[in-house]
Amino acid sequence: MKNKLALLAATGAISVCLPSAAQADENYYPSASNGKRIYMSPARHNDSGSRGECNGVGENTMAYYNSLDASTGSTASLTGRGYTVRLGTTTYQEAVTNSNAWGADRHIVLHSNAIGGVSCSYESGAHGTWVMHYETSTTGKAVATSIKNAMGPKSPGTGDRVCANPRDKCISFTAYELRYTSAPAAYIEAEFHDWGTGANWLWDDLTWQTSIAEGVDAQMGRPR
Amino acid sequence: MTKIAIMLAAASGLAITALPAPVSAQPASPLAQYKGFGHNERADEAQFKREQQARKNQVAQCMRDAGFKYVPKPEVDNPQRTRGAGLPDTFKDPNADYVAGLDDGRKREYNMTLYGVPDPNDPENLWDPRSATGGGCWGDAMRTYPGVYAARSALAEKYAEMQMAALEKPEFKQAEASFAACMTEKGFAVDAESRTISPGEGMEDSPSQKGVTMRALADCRNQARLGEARGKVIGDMEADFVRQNKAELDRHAARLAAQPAVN
Repeated sequence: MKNKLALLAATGAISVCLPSAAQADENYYPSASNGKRIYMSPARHNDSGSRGECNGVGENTMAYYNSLDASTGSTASLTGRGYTVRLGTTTYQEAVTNSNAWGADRHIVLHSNAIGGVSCSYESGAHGTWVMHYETSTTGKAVATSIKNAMGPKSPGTGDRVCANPRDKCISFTAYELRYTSAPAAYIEAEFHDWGTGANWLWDDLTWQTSIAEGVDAQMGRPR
Repeated sequence: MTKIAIMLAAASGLAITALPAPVSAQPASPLAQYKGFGHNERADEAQFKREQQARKNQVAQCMRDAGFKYVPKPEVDNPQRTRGAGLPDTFKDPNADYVAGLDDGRKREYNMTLYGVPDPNDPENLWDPRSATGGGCWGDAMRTYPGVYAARSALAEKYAEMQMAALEKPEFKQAEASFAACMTEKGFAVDAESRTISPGEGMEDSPSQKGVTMRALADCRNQARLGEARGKVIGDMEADFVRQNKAELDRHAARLAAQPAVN
């Protein structure tokens, strides 16, 4: 059942679009740097808003503002902890090129998940925080586990899990941002947006975003 | 004239404040002799910004040479954002209207020229950035300007693995155990597997709690001398890292010295 759900979720996660982009990334600098650099890469689907989001807020919009809150604006955010953050607003290909050129220490992708074809009241044991890493990356696995442990207890679903990509088939393809980033990477599917409770948590709950920063910080030994 | 001078001064001030503040407590490390590893962060970041601009200029010229219109957009530092219903302007592509006016075949050519792939958002058909060829105008620009962070990037996984091993050393684990005990005493929960901290039972999980949590973290870091322990094991690790990767570090340094000047 879980595998079926995972594959359905994967189908919902794929976006195909043709127009290209030349947008600018956003840089966020801390007041006191710890010398470490995090590339945050929120979802950029072409069909955001039509992906079954139960609250009517597009996946891209939720992912961007949740990435922003993880990155900056509070003492518990990444910049509050001393990290320099680059937040990607370009294509997936440029995200990887920019992350590599910028010398990121960790590359964090933030999306939300979907089962697909279910009503917003549908309850599933799969709901929860899923965090993926590239299957051969030891540090990627460590940072994915750390983020899952920090964030999972806050998300309303209980199916929190760490997945090796592509081996565990949590998504049906090899994630480009896990495979080709130089920095160890974690790909977060933060709850299911086609579940009413999950969608509301993703957009209205402002307490969980910095748990991404906590997961990264703990894995890196809290540099200051 | 005065107005222009003030505007220039303001712009220059913005550029300076937009760069990272100096690193708080970096241990002496042989890695500091190599650019891009965070030991001279302001200078590295300033160089990166010049390189990124040079790459964008090259991409724009490359696209024009291929017969396309293309406008690069400057990066944005520390923008002030408020959680809202839509995405900010940084997501808007200045070339979107132009591209929308191209027929499907020409759009494909545009993407092939710019990125070396038909669709830069198709996660299953993108360019391998480690390839010595391809990647369109962007690939060419990356090869022209490998950049100040090229060594850091190429060795990121190795560095991270050595860092993980260093954080398992007894001197750090001991400090970390003291840190965890201190946080537990203050009522926080410490995850045994990942060392993450969360509000303990009965603690409110709210935005205002974040400040309390961060103050407790700072107190316990100081009490457990976590920063000193980390500095020691990472300093030793970086010495090993330089010994093990000296040939590659030197090769990157030579490539950096040979890349075209960026001003």
